[in-house]
Amino acid sequence: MVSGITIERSKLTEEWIAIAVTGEIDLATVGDLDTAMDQVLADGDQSLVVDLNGSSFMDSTGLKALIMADRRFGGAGRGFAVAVGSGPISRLIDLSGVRGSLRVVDSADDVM
Amino acid sequence: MSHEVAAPGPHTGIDPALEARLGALGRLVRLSATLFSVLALLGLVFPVFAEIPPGPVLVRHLDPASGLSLTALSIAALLAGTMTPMRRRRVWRRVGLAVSLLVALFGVFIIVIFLGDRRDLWWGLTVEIPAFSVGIVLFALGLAIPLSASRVESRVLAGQVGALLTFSLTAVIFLGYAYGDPSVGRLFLQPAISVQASLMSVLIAIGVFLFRPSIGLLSTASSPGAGGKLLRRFGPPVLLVPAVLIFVAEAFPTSERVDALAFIAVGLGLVLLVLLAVVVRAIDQTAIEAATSAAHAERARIGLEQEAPVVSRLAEVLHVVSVDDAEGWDVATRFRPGRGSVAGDASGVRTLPDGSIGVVLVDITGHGAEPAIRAVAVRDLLLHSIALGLSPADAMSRVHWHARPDSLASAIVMRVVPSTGSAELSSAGHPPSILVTSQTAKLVIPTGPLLFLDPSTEYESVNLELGPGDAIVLFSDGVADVQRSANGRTEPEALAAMLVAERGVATRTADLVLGFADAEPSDDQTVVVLRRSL
Repeated sequence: MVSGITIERSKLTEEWIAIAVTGEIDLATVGDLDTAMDQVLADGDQSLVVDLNGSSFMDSTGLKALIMADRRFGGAGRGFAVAVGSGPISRLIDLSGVRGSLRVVDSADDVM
Repeated sequence: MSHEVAAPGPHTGIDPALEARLGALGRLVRLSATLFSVLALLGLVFPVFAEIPPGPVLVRHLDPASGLSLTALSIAALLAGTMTPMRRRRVWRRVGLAVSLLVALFGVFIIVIFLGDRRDLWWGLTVEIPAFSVGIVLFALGLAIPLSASRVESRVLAGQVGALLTFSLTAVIFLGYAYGDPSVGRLFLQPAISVQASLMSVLIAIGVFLFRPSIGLLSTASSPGAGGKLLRRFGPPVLLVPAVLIFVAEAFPTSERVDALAFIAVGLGLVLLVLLAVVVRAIDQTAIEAATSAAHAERARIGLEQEAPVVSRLAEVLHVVSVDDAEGWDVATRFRPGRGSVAGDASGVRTLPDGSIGVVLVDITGHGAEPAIRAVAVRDLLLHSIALGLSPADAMSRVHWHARPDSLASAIVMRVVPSTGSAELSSAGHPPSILVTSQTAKLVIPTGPLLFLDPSTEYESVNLELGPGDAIVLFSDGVADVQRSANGRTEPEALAAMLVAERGVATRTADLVLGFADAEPSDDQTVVVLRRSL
């Protein structure tokens, strides 16, 4: 199956890894996002920021994936953040009340 | 009705209890071979056995070179195997493998000097050189040990074939001695392998063959597949080919070069055995794959058969309306499942014991029967809570104990007093609702975060007033999503704009809303409309 999202991983600092997601995150593509996040969790002891500024839509399964990843990283004593400026996904984060539970920043560089 | 479909495992699979028994037997045989080898070695050092007259006896003279080599081979088989006390010490296993390889090299050395007629290179000229057959045994078993002890299936197979072939050859020699005709065991050229050497070799061969019974030839032989049948039918005859041909060659010598005929017999037997092993394994793997695919398909079919009525029945209970006695109000719900099955939307509109109307809409993340069941449970808990007198906000706050760590939900809980039109609404991260009045259609924004996100959340309510002709429209994100745009607005805003001045009955409004939504949704679409009549 052709994935509807692209995920690029980059190293921001010694402490932070960023994965930038473009495309729509839904039931069909959320597995790829989950895999990428778990890969970072398994690879070392770095924190993760998921950059959604290139993504135009995320359904509730994507939101759930982020919250569960936040719990996994938190459980491992590592940082987790979501980078989303103003836009559709930001509205979802506001309306679902997740902004209080997740660390949400405007851009990936803001985590530093 | 339940079905069980058995599928073969990754290998043809030997019964674990039988595998354990075979493994134990292998260890016992290897230990016996080792003890016997040490005994034979002692016979070399202390010439007690030299007094025993020659003949078909268990222990007789064994030349030092072959005695030393076979002893090393036996110990190697023991160390490289799976002796429980040694399993924790990998170093012994490695020592065993290294020794067995050295023995194999020694076997090659013997073969080479024998073929080149350079016996003087080994043990001087005073002691009888080990037989050519001993060289073959050392080489074959010395290689078979590390192969059979490997975790790679093909190597185990090759090692076991080598061990079986050695077993076949040395068993012939041993039987020759047992029947009092050592010449039967005279392979190729003099001198023959001695009786205790042949017995040792047989023991080592059996012990090596029983390394890893679950992934070697035994697993295929025990398979119900075509390969298993083939091996069971033709394996024993092929194994006996060298023995039979040697007997024939010895009994009816047709030329002076009878050993050449025996050589061909042995070579032919080896080729046949290897071919048989490879072919039956390939056949059996194919049979396993076919059987596994068929079993998976059968499981899927049964799963569908079993789940279809459940899903169908679920769809009937996902959305319930029971407000028959609410005069002056009409209710409509619409539901369109996403991806051709049920997902996590559930709704309920019911008259509560105090005469008010309770409305609940829940959307659990995920698709399939499991989130649908969860959605129904959460919906009923919320309805039950407000039926007991809790406010919508308190109902939201208290339902958290029902959380599961891998689940999130958005929800709306509303209580409407039919006589006054006053309503109290609490929303947990759900898309906005739309309050349609005579002049406007306003979005009612969520009052709290998603359910099950944070156990300490205390939800709040908003109070609404529904006058005659007013309606409240609840919908899930499959209908209108705040992230998507329509006509330059977010979808909920565009939907609200469409509903301004909508004065129809609830069913008409619900149809309008569903008409706004994507007709082939990827997510569940639920609409609940509650309208106060004029």
